Amino acid sequence: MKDSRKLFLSVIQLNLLVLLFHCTINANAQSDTTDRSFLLETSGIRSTYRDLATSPLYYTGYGLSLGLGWDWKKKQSESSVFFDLSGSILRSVSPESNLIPSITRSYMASANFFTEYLRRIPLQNNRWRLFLGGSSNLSLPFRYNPSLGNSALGADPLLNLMGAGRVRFDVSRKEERTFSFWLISRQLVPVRRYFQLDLHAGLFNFNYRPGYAYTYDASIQGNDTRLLNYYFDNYKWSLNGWRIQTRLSFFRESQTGNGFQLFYAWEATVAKGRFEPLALAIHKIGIRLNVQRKPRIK
Amino acid sequence: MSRLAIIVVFTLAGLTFSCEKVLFGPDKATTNPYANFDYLWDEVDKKYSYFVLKSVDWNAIRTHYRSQLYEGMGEEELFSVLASMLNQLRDDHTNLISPFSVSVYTQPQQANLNFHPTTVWENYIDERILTGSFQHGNITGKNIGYVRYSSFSNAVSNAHLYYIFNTYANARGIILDLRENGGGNSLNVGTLLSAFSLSEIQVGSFITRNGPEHTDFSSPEPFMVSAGSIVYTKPVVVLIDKGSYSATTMFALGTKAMPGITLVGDTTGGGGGLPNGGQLPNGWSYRFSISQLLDLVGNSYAESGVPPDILADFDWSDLSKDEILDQAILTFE
Repeated sequence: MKDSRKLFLSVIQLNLLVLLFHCTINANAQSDTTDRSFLLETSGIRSTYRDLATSPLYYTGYGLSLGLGWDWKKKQSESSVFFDLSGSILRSVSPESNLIPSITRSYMASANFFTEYLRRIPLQNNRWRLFLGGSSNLSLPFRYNPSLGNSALGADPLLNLMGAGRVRFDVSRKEERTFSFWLISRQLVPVRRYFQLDLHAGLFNFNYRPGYAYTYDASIQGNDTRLLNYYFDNYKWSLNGWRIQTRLSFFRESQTGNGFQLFYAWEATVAKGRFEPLALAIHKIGIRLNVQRKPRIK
Repeated sequence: MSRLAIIVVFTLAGLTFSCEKVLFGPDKATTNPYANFDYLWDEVDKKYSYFVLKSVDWNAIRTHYRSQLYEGMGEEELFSVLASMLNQLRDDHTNLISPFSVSVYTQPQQANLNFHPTTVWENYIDERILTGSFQHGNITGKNIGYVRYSSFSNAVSNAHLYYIFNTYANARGIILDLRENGGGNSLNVGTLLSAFSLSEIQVGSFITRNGPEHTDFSSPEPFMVSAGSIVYTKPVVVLIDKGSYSATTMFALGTKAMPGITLVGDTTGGGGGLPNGGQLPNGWSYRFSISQLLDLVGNSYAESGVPPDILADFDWSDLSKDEILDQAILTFE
């Protein structure tokens, strides 16, 4: 238990180090070539999970996600840190019944802390940009399924150190144009637009999963029993499973650098643990606002 | 070239999106009676904690009940077979829960009920006071406090205990009535026990299944009682019966290691194991014990019940008297 807690704290410290690394390299970067943006995101989500430690059934449902972060874009590299919270209400995908269907509900809340750093790979084509790098993702998905009694709560911290790739295709309008349709005529100013596909694949996948019996009769230390210690008794860190994240976005930025992106993101995770695995997938469709901290003056 | 690249990017995107169930493995949801039977039997086999103690031959039980299955059998029939199989564990922490029925072993109902609240409040108590999760009052003419705690699901607050202990500070002692207290939150057990302990002591331990063999258990985890911030130091009598189950059995076992507390009534109902929950491929839920509660020397009698120090029975032919309460009062003489 103590070893696991130490390892968990080490993992948190590792994430904080990654964040510090981001802040340091970006603070030391030449400010005139760095676009620094504040990010604000909201999305609708569709979640699916199956925790074979408690149920062979998939649970699926819908919810909302809110997030904020920062990104730094330079000619040769891009990086970002992002934090989001999401909540969803799910129901079991149970088989048909001739009597009363066994539909059970589950509630999921998740906190995610994400960092990435990507280097640009030179290409001959000006409209295409390719980046390669790495990212880390710390997720804390909490699930509550009242039909499972003492096993109702599921909380499995996941940490993934991932390889990251980004492909960007520029569809910007570089010159002023006149749009005219029947009686409507408008002057269209130059605007930066691009499609982007992000792909993250877990290289080192850590998960903190329950022990053999899932629920444990942990030690009771009189009035000093700490609920978290009691709950996480016999949880262990494992290095196994996998995680994939993809994100397809359309960006539109004004000349000042402020803009927005419409995106569809998908991620799938399997945390095998030491006994039964947890599988988790989330689809997100939403909008992210980019607010330049120092708008470009053109 | 650009168009080709766009097609490649979107095809790649299409391939990587929306295919989680292919990656996660097949959906195991099914109403097939054999699949559900085998799933439940296997889960119990891997995790139930009292096979050895209760001499349960789980393989023989599988053979007996699996032979009652057939393809296309109704849900109520399947429920009946699975519930009968689980009841062979003789454990009230074991249930099968479907939308149309819940299986129970009903240990308390197999013994005489030993508590009639009206008898106590109308014939023994001056005035009933409700303080938090407790009902209490002075036993008429005896100078003994009577405290009723009906469920360990109800929070135990030090402020409420402080008020109650102050109320009976000049009494000869208190009688804590836990009859028909079916249990609840086990963390309340430690809090209530500490109200009678001047120092930190170990009163028992827990072991939990941690492997596929029926004898695979974790090393014992201590059940410690803290020194209470509010402690009642006068004699305490605790009333128990077959309806005192689960967390109440834990409490009763804890008192065995504590001086100054006497158990009066009938053996508790048991329920020494923590029940965990799960779900079957057809969506029904179940629970069963995955741990054992041990006393200080490692005995696991809690599952069959903690015996009282003084045995007493309620006589239902005369509801003006509570023989168990009378016996408790006698211990103060």
